[in-house]
Amino acid sequence: MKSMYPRAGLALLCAMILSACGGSGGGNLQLAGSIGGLTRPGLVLINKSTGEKLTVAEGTTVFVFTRFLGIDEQFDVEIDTQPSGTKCVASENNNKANVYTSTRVQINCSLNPWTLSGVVQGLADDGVAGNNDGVTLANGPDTVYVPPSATTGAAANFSFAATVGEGSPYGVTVLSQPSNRICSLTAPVTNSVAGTGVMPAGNDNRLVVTCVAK
Amino acid sequence: MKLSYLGAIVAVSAAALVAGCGGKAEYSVQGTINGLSTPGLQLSNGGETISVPAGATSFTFPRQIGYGTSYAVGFAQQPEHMLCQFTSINTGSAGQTVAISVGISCARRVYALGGQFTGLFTIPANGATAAAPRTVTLLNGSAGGQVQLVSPADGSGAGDFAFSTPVADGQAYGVTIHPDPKLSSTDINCTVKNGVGVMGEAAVTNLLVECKPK
Repeated sequence: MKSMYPRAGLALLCAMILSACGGSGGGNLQLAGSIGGLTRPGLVLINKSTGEKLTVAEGTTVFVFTRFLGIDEQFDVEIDTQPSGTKCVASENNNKANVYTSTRVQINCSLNPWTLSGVVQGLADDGVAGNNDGVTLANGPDTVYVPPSATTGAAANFSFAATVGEGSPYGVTVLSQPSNRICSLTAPVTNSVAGTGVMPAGNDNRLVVTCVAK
Repeated sequence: MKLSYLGAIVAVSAAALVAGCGGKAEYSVQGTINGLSTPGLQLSNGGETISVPAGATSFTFPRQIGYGTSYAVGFAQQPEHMLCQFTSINTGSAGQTVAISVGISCARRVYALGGQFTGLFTIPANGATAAAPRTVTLLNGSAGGQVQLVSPADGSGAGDFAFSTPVADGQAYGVTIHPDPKLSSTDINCTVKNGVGVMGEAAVTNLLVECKPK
């Protein structure tokens, strides 16, 4: 093992000499950029021009590849592995290296957005004009009004307009009751609280609201 | 009649001449407005007040001012539910710039969401095990933030809390226990009262979280 060190040192020296003569083996330009919205682990970036990979921890906002680039050396930073539940997109990521281009790669990440939906059972149109027979549900600031189904006795489907990020919590409550029913969340039950859950890797349609006559 | 036309022309010509000799140019006291979505905004300048309707993106005072005349635009009345602020300097004297342009930006007022908790007692020390606080985490839907309640050191098990994310006037809120069991103590059951509503024109302080041993 010991004999490897001088050899490695020699190789490095050779590389440095080469690069000083304009060789493509290195340079003094950092390949770097900024990252937004990275809240989950698992992101691996790759510079496709050299094959160098860089693992980036969640919460990171700045990244720097270890290997330096020479002037005019082509770089192409891509997403090698997406973080869990997240989609990252690279921009300003493919160019020839110079002081202007090589440190302005942008990686923008966002949690995969999924739809939160379900059914309301037991709503009834009482036929009286002006009466509010639907129920308004709230996932915090996001609300949805669910009227009775056109088919008497059938469950009414609903979905929230605002999506929920994969792995993010939701908690649905009844914001305003129908005039003729009392509704409550009955599913899903998470941590023994009905109407709450964590968004899976896909749309969640498990919400059930059950309404009974007053 | 002919004579009076002539008189008018002479008068206009004379005025034009005077203006050409450095006579007074007239300036409109005006500006741009961003985000105004409710009625009630009144702006003042000197003794003059104008009402600006909801949705307006600009304003102009009807009375023009001469070169060198100072102006100071102020808020005579804020719009309903909103707070408007100047985004550029609101005072000056006419002629400092080619045209007067005062920037105004408006946003919904936001208020705190909070209340009291009870029954959140510290786990007492037991032999080698030190005393440890109990926690319960509340969620205001997927987009409304969360807050962790911790048993206070004074042994009362009670205290006040508020979400760090305030709620805009007119926006819904719906508070539940956070679905992630790791964020709350597992040996207590907590319920949220008054946890659903629509934010009014004052902070909500009546949420009540009651915890009991399982």
